[in-house]
Amino acid sequence: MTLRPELDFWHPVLTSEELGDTPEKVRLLGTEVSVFRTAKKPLRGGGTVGAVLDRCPHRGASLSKGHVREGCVVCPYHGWSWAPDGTGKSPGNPDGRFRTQAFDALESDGAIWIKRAGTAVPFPRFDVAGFLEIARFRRRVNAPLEVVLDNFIEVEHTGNVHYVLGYDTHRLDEVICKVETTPETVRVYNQGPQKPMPWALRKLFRYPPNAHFVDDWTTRFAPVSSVYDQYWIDRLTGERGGDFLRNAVFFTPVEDDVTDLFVFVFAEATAWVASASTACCSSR
Amino acid sequence: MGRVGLNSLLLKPLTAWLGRLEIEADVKMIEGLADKSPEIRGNQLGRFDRGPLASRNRMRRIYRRGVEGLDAAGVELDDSET
Repeated sequence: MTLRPELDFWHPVLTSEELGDTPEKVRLLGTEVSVFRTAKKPLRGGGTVGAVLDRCPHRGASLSKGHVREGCVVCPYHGWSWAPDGTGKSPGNPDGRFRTQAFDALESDGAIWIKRAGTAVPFPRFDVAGFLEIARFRRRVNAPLEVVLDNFIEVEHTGNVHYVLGYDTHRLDEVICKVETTPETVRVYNQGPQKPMPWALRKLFRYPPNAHFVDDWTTRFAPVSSVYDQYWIDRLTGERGGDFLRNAVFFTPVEDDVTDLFVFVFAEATAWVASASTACCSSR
Repeated sequence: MGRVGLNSLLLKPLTAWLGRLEIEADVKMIEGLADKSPEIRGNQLGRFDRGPLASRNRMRRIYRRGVEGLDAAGVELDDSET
């Protein structure tokens, strides 16, 4: 089976919460993959996971409808089992040598990631040291990757489409938009008048009156992802005021016309806030 | 200034809610587009579209490995422009 070249890169395919102790079928660039935990789901932190083509090479059953035994996914049809490295065993053919397409898989940052087995590409880290995790979620969008990405790397739409985070449509001409590129990255820095925000949210984010909202992101393409820094500055002094949000969004193409967003939301936090939030609201 | 009282307790749930709300608004708009073709050649573009244009080139070269198909817009941006 020929896999598309984009599969060389690590892609998030599920949030950690979405993968229990039974296999799950995911689609990545049209390829159906069975993802499974090779050991019981840990209460905290990353576990060990495996991923193989969802189609059993014996008679075509969907392996994601099977179960996991001794770290292998077991086919629900004839009981053949498949290890994370792609080697297979058949109860009725103990001397047989069988093999399926396997994928590299790991659990990190609250998500399950897969790529083509054996490719030497770095894992896409994003720096959130000193930040408090606010949320992480997956959202499916029925549109091609390019169209979805376009929306998330320009701010002109925020005036009409967004509720609070963005710029006032009637003052978009005041928004500074700088683009800096390297061969591997595109950075876009936007700064302009914050669109009107309800009083309660202004108090939540604690930004100064007449603040300028800054939305500063860098997009990378191996895989496709953007990390956004969002904060406010005093338009006169240029000094930062209020909160600082850092969001990472990964764009995973499910099919040519379907894209999954994996959103990781963080906020800069003092130790007091981190401890209070952990005690009251932690989801991990 | 440190964060105190109710504000500290509401930061996480309210920001999470707000993040989801904004994403939902984006998704609703994207899925409702009259034309969801990735082709942008022939579109009339403005100054805020320079980032997307530069990204198209890199997506085609780095992510798609130059494969023709979905991302065949062929639009080039002068990357010296900042």
